[in-house]
Parts: sequence; C-alpha cells; structure tokens
Amino acid sequence: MKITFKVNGRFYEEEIDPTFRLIDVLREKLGLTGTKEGCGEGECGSCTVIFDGAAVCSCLVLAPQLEGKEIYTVESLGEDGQLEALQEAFIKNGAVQCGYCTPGMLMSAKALLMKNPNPSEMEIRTAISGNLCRCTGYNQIVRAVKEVAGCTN
Amino acid sequence: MEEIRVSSPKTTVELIDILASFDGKYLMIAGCTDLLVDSRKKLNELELIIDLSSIKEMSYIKLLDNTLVIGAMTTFTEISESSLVKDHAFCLAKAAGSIGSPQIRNRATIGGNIANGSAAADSAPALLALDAWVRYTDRAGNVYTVGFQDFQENHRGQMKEKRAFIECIGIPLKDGNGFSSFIKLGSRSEVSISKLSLAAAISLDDKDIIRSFRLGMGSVGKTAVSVTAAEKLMEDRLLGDALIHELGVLLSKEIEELLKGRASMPYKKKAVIGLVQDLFNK
Repeated sequence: MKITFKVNGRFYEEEIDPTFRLIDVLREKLGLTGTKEGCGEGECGSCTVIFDGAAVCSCLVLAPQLEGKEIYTVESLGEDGQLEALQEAFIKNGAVQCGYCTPGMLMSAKALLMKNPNPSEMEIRTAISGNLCRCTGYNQIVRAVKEVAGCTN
Repeated sequence: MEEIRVSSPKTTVELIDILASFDGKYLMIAGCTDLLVDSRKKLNELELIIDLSSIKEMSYIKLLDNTLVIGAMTTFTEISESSLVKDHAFCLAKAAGSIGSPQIRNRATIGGNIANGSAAADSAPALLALDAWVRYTDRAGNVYTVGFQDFQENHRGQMKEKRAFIECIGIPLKDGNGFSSFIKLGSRSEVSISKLSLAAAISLDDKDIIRSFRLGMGSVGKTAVSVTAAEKLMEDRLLGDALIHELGVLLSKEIEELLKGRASMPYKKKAVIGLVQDLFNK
C-alpha cells in the first residue's frame, strides 16, 4: 500500500507492505539504521523514535499507522555533521558504553526535553524508564540529560 | 499472496459503514502495543486491517451528566496525566501510569486494553473498583451500555461476532468524601506485567466510617475480579490498620480459591497481605 509520511523533516511517499512495522520501514525501506532493534516487543526501548511529538517503540507501530505522521529518528540529531548538545553530554559523561541502547536513550531524552525543557531528575528517570541499558547503570545517562537540561534538583 | 487491505476510517460513522459492508476476516487495531507482541504472523491470515488511530472523535476525557467519560482511543499517557481522571478516578490514573513504559503509554489505548482482555490488564481492576460501564456499537449501529464486569464476562467474547467496537467507558461520580487507589506487583518497576494488582474505591463519612467500598483484583484468573466479600467486610467499619489487615487475610483466602492448583497461588496469597497495606499507604 502507498503511505505518505515525514521522517526527519523529509517527505516520503512509499509503497510499503502493510505488515511492516515502523522499524522495518526506517531500516529496510529508508536505510536509516541508527534505530536499533532489541527485543522487538516493546520491552527494551532500543528502537525508540519520536512519533508525532512523543517517544514510541518503533517495533510496536504498524506501517499503515504512519499515514500523515511525522517521525524523528536519531539521525535527526545534530546539524552539518556536528553533534547536538545532548549527544556531546552523553559522550562527556560516559553515558555511551557498548552504544546499542544509545539511539533509543537519546530519543527518549529528546522527547522529554521537547515537552519539558527543565525536567527534574525524577522526570528524567521516568522518561528513560522504558529504555534498558546493561552497561552504564543509568546514572551517567541521567547526568548527561541533567547537564543539558541545566537542572539542579 | 494478495496484500492485506487496510482501512483507516476518520469517523465512527465511516467505521460502522466498513463493518457493515465487510464480511471477511478482519482485525481492528488501536495502539497496536499488544497485537505486535503476540500475533504479527497472524496479520497474514487477514483480509482487512481496520486502523482506528485516525478516529479523533474517540479520543477524549470529559465530564457528562455526573459521569467521567473516556473515549476508547484515549491513550494511557493522556489518562495518567488528566486532572479530571486524577480528581475523579485516581486509581485509574495510577493504573494508567503504571502500564508498560512511557513509549507504550504514548500508544496504548484504554479501548485496546479492555478489548484485548489480558488477565493482567492494569486498567481492569480500577474499572471494577470504579463501577465503570462500557459502551460499544455493532455494525448495525446498535449501541450497548453494560457494566465493566458484565462486559468482561459476557460481551467481550461476542465483539467479533457482532462486528462491534468499543466507543467509550464511563465512570459514575461518587458524592461525598472518598478516595481510590491502585497498586501492582511485578518483577520490576517499569515495563512490568502485573503478577497481582489491586484497586479500591472508598467512600467515607465524616467520622471515617466506610460507607461504600469496591475492590478489583487483577492477575488472579482469566479476568480481573470484583471481590464482593471485601465490600461486606469493609462497609460500616472504621478505616484503620486492623481492618486493612483483616482485608488482606480475606483476599488471601479469595486467592487460594481463585488460583487453586496454580503454581503461583502460594506466592500470591502471601503477597496480597503486604500489597493491600501498600494500597492504603500510597
């Protein structure tokens, strides 16, 4: 079926198998392989993208539900080859270790900061609570997001 | 193989037209957070997918005739953040906020949760405690309004045959002093399927005597259950620690009966005694 949607500000009109999930569309149709598949059932958050302004697991959105929607993936972060502040803060704070969860973590954090530019630590922890990381122990990630948000609480 | 057709109606009128004119094998999808976990392969057996996510008129939370009404396509994020739900149905706001993860709550809908009918559905005990009703419409446009317990037991299984869809749920507002609460026990704090969940709605008089009490319990069988023996125990008594302990003992006996022969029974019958205390402490 033909589906029209926007990814990272670019308009697409694609012939897509209606049983594809959003992650399949991103990785297989559009070649946007920054989004990682982990569990494939909404448990790990590694495939998180921003869908109409909210963080969602791209393994749990069926392709026909993309019609008319706007999606942002990890590839949307930064400009002209420069990392954005959130990415820089992840590196500086040791929030990237094996890196597999990082695209999903960044997009959950980005969705939070879009909605709430000054979150508390509790709000940051809630926002990334659907993203599993088996390397960092989470504190470095929380520290990185706090640094960008400029929060002191 | 022929490609599956997809319909994305924009209104409930369009949806009824689709249901009325199609006789093949179909599936309705809402947030898709359960469907894509259990049965993606089954999609290939379908002739038609009806995607409800474009029906804006089914996504709302409002007060109408002394009832809190929630459209079936309202997400759990919207429900958990709604001040109307927090004010009038706190246990539902709390249950909604404990479902899955932020990513799942952003997609999953209350209509999808009750239509899917998981034994561990977190909204179900809260809807029982709140005496909620469910309104659904069939392909002929007939509208049915039934109590949530009746819906779970007698109507949910007929939805496919009737080619029906859930329009909304309603929660009658209670007068006077009262509160409600929800708690669940899972293997971790987030993205956790309930091993046991409790929701209670209580009305008190000005001396803290319980005037009405409703309790829903989830993950204790095929559907969440309303515990009527708990209502009898609690009504006309003073709310306090001793009574809460008695309630725990009663629920423990209920679980022993409901889960007889199940491996999880010994754990759940002990756990409920602590869980019921947390229910009242939170």
